[in-house]
Amino acid sequence: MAEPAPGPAISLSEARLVQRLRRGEPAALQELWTRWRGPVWAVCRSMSADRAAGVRLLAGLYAELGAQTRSWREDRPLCCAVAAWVLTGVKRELQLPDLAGIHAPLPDAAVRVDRPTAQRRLASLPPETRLVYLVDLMFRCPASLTAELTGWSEDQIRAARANAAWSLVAAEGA
Amino acid sequence: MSFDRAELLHLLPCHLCGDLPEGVSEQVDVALREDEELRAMYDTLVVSREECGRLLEAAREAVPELAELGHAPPPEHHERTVPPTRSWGLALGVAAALLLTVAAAVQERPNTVEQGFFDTHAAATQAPGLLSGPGLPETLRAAGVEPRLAKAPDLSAQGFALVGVMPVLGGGVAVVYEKDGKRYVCQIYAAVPTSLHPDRVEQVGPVLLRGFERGDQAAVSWSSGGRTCVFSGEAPVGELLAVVRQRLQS
Repeated sequence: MAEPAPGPAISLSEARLVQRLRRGEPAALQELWTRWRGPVWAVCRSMSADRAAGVRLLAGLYAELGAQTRSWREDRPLCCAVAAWVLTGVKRELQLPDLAGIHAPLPDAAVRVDRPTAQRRLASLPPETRLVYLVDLMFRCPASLTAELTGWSEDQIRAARANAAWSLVAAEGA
Repeated sequence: MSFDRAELLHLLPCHLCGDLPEGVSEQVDVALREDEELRAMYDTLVVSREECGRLLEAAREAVPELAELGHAPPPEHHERTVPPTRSWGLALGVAAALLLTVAAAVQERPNTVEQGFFDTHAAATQAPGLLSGPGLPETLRAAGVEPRLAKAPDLSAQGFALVGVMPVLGGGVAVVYEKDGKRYVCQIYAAVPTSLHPDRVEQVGPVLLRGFERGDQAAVSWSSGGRTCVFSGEAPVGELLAVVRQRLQS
């Protein structure tokens, strides 16, 4: 692409929180955790076979949170920093492969799926593409920003997004 | 630049996320309007994304406490002081002070992106130094607004009178209108991720409208062409959805 999509806006309260996180304020960490634990847990639980596995995954992410936030930037949206922490943390904890060689299966036909079908197809996605799709769905960061914050390839992030999206709606046999 | 069908199909998931450069997004919008079959396939992506969103929402339940993760709770919350106001310049000084006041007042509420929209609505409707008058786009650009966001949409046909504009953090704007004695705000940002939890959703052509309610206020957000717009006011969410729908269809 000729130029990336523009990044999200940053609220004043977010910038202030990141300043405090960089200083290592425990109360700031508590505030961050309180605000974002729900979305982060949703991704962890969705990437796990059961609650116990999800708790272990979340614990692994939380253990790194304090160290991670010391290097977060005030000029980057907080939700994207959280998303990057989730992406790299889950990949590490679950030992997922790097995003590489992903191609989106472009179906000739697509169908509207109901929730049970969506759930079944989501669970059958390769975990590395499922992770990108779920984090994208929950935090909605531009791929360019996600790539910058994770060090992953923007093209592969977009390919994973498209791969997951079309896999969910491909007509059977298409 | 034009895209073939395969390229369009590859772009659609990113278009749904509002994550395409403006020019590309506009071309995809045109293709969706002109190709019913492509539009039908796009709709399947919209539906599956919403269903997966609801699955994620359900997965949020019963968040583990820190003790369950094997960690002690962090220390007690410490009283914070409001940081000194930065030197934003005359055009931003009043707006920044009001934003600080509103931000400090709402620190205890969940800091979702949507709460930020309502916070900005409050700040804009209370700001005494809104920018207005001839040459407004140039004035906004001089105040640090991104050129492609330096707009004050004309809603006079729908009865909304322009009051003025306030630059907001991130290079966007909050445009304040008045109708029947009430103030409404149209916020325009570079594409902003929104949560999955709108109170109402409505599809208008290729654009998905998300409606949010907070007490007697409502806000409607939508993304198109690399921009996110938010229309807010003290009105039922259905009323604001109707205004935005009419504007998009005009």
